[in-house]
Amino acid sequence: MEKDYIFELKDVTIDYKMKMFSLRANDQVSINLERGKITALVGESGSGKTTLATSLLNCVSEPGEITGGNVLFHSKDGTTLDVAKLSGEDLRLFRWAKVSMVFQGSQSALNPVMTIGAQFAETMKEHDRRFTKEQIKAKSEEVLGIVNLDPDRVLSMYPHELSGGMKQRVMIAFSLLLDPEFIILDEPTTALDVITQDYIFNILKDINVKRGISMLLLTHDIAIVSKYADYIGVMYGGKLMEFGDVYSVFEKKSHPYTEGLIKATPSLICDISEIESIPGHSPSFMEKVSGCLFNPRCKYAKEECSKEVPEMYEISSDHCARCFRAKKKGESHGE
Amino acid sequence: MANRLLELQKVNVVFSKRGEFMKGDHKFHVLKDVDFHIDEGEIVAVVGESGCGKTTMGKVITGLQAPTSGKVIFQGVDITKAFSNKKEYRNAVQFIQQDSYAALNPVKTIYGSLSTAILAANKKVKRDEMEELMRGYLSDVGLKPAELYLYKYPHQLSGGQRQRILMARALALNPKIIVADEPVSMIDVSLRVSILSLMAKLNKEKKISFVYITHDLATARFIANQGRISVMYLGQIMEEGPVETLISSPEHPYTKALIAAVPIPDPKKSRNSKPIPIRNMKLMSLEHRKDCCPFYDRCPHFHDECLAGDIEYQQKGDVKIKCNLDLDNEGKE
Repeated sequence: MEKDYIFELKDVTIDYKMKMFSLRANDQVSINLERGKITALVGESGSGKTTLATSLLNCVSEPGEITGGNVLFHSKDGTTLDVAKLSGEDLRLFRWAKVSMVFQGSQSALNPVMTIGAQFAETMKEHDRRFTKEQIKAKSEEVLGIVNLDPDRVLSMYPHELSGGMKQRVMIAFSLLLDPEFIILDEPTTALDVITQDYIFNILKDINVKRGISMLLLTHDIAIVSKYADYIGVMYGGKLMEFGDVYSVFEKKSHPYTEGLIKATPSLICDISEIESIPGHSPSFMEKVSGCLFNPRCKYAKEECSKEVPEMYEISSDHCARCFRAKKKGESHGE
Repeated sequence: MANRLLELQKVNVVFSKRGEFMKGDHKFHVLKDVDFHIDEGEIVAVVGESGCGKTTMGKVITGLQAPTSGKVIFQGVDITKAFSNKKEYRNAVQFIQQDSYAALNPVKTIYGSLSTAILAANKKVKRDEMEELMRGYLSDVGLKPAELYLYKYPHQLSGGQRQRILMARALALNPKIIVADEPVSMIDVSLRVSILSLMAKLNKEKKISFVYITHDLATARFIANQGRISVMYLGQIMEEGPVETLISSPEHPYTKALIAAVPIPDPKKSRNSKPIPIRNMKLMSLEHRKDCCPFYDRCPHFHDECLAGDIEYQQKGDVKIKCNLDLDNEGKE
């Protein structure tokens, strides 16, 4: 059965161009995001997940640049756009109206000298001059209602008057202002405590289910992914290492890095003696690793791993991994 | 009984914020009647939401914040009063901050940062002995070979390495207690466990007691699996007891809520979990706290007696609980 994708990323490559050399933050990443679902990208800091997500809005921060591949956006009205090729006014109107983003560190994403209401109004006016005061007020009240904030109070407040959890909810309300089809959530709950985190994710799941908005969740917390996401992609050193349905990935973890990440997460029910960290350190884009990027830290590494670069091997129709061991698994699965 | 190292007795910390003209001052009761103790070689995890006063308590323990009232007793001496061996106390109780980048001087090499600490502990160390000492401390925290780190600046190291340097710097003063304030919250998941294991190793080998301050119950369970957990809420300790008892059978409604909020890294289990058992998501501001149970506005078992005044601790086995529920009958309902 053909799936309905909202985003199709094909061989997306992003380079940070410096004076003397360039760094490849994303190397030929291909990933399809299904409409109406929550897809999570997991990885350590520096794994390129934020860079990849910003390519969906074509707002990769300087001096980064999309140097190859296509970012295809299929709108629900049937049109298809290549976001990587958009520029100027088209791009400006595409951003936020079709795809919006909840940035990491909401503390610094809001303007400290404007009230929340004024910032909402500014965003709406910038996209469509025809919005009237009444429409803006009605919409602001609606989106704040979705995140369970009292509009009468919050609209006239400045960011410093809000708590961390409230600011994060204001940011989510912000992302809903122009009725986007897709929201990117960049670490939406880091720096918040567990109870607030649970509360915010319940709101997000509600938005996803009731309004049918698709989401991309960037996080390093694999426990959160297991609870809320439908698909999971694991990034390492700018490459996608494993991708698949959440249940399938957790049950048949096929990349040693995924296995390590799950094993390194302490929880309240697991056997403490089984928890172990991944040896070595996270990859730097400056070091060149021959063969599989993960092979210096991998406990299953064989000779071929440092010579050849593994491709994405299919394990089942909903699950693939970039590891030679997965290739063997996939073959035995096919037989 | 194990040797009691440090004890807080009825510690109160009140911050006052200057009010607007003619309106008077606001008082923030950040810590209220906190009793806490730590024994030799013990690990105690202090868990709570942001703003519950856990960092302030860490500061009181390390002597960075003077309590408004109450006693801080270190090896039998009240350190809030003037006493002669203040230096011994200051060296014996060390603090490791959350932000390892801000905690190291950016214009000093690691050698520079460590040598200050080593000289503070022992002025007679000679230059040629210095490097040998540092090598020892760095290998204690798993940074080998030392040459790779000694002459670097903080910005050249990764977050995990900086956190280890902080630990080495604390070790240089031969501490008896290390207070670690969210030491892993800014470190990548794959490396978190190794830092936590390092703390457990230092605890075992060097018999250093740890006060581990965190909002993450799962890591608290991991590091303090033989120790205790103190659950804090709005400046008060709500429940305290051995880790496994507290996590497998929590008694206080707030502890139950906290445990329910921790996601389990397994989609099959986590999706069947029940909603968090609280009535209200909002954390009350300290300003509005009354002289009664601070959790009353969110507690699912709230009844009128909860507002009647300060709640006494009740003891159930090894666990003390600040709640007036009839704990023996509650389970049978």
